Amino acid sequence: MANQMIALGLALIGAVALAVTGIYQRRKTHGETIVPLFKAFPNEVGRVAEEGRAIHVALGSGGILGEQSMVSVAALQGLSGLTELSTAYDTPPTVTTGDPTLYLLAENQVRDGYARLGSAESYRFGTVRFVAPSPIAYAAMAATVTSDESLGASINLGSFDQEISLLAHAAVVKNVALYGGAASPQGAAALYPILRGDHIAIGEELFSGGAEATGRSGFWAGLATQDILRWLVIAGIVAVAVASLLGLGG
Amino acid sequence: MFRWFLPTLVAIVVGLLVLLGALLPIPTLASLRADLVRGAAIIAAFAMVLAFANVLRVHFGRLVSRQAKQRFASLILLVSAIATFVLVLLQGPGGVAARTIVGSVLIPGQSALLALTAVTLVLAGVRLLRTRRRLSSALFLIVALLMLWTTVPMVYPGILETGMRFVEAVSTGSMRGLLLGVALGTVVTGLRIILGIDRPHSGG
Repeated sequence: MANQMIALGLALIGAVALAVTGIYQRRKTHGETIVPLFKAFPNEVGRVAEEGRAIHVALGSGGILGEQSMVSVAALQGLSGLTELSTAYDTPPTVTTGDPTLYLLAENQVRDGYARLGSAESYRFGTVRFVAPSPIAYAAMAATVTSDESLGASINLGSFDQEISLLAHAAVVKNVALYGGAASPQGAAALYPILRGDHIAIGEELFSGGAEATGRSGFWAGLATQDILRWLVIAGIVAVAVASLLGLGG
Repeated sequence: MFRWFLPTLVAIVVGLLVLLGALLPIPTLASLRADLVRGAAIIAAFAMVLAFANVLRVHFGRLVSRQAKQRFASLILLVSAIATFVLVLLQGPGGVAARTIVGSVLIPGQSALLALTAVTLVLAGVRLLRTRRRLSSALFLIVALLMLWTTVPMVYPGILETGMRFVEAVSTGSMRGLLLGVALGTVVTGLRIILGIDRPHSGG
């Protein structure tokens, strides 16, 4: 019960902070880079389009109904700039997902990219693919997409564990540019040895993608709110540690 | 209006009800939350049907396409997918055919793939020294090797055990920090959707 009240309190504070920082962020211009990975995507789209190749975007096995739903949503937001730009070049990325609900969301995003350009009919079926419902089978099947098709870059962003190493390995063997991000420690540990520092997003860095890709004040307000909540949690941890050190509380 | 307003309204109302149902001790809200989650599961089942159709269509396209290099793989996939679908449809998910497919094909296949990740992870570790020649990389490798070594059941010198305890404390702390950051990101992303700032369902 107490835990639920703390969670409710945190959600309320988060909502208020989001509203307040949202107003403040509207007046600001955002040009700063937090995670270089997301700033690299536009150049990568241009390079790949010039070479006449494609980009493979692997979104992982997180769905919209599970624990990893917000990680998948954040990954999609981080890729929104990429999908819009590549549809503008008419070289849409091949997007693979390991969850049916995420498949629908990703397809919606790519279709919207075309619709915003006024050419919704240009969307080609098979641009977004559902490949397999379990994480390991998904990674193996998505790795075949990286291996088989004429790719210029592979972007693995979303809900992954150690199975991401199969995908990353396929990209390294094929010698295509590799970018990646994972929220789980296992996924991050599998990516860390392969990727350069500016090609990787680890843990909460994944949630800054929307802000970096779109520059919208709502996303920047979200990042500011995350910082506020982080300081509150730190203060709570310190307070509990001090209280237990002094023998106060249960 | 119907393109974004209605989905956003539904997302806000449903999101709020599910959040409050989980956090407030009100039985009506809790039962409403359970109904909504059940409804979402049914929608997810429909999404699965669409996703299955996508698999069939993509691989059928590869099968009839002249340029496709992997026609044989697509043919095997199509035959297995349709055969499994028909068998499970006839016998149900608890039937003999479904259990045999899961126990004799899927689980062994996935175990083999999981074993393969051990190899790709070792290869990734070797590549580390090529991609990042830094102190942190050396530390990463030393810790990984220490962890691997100490998983072998044997008696270790006291200094190594103390070192490992230190490494475990540091790694557990770092992991919790990482997960806490992800949890905060999750909360804020959820709040953005509930407040209507963010509309992933309607492309906004």
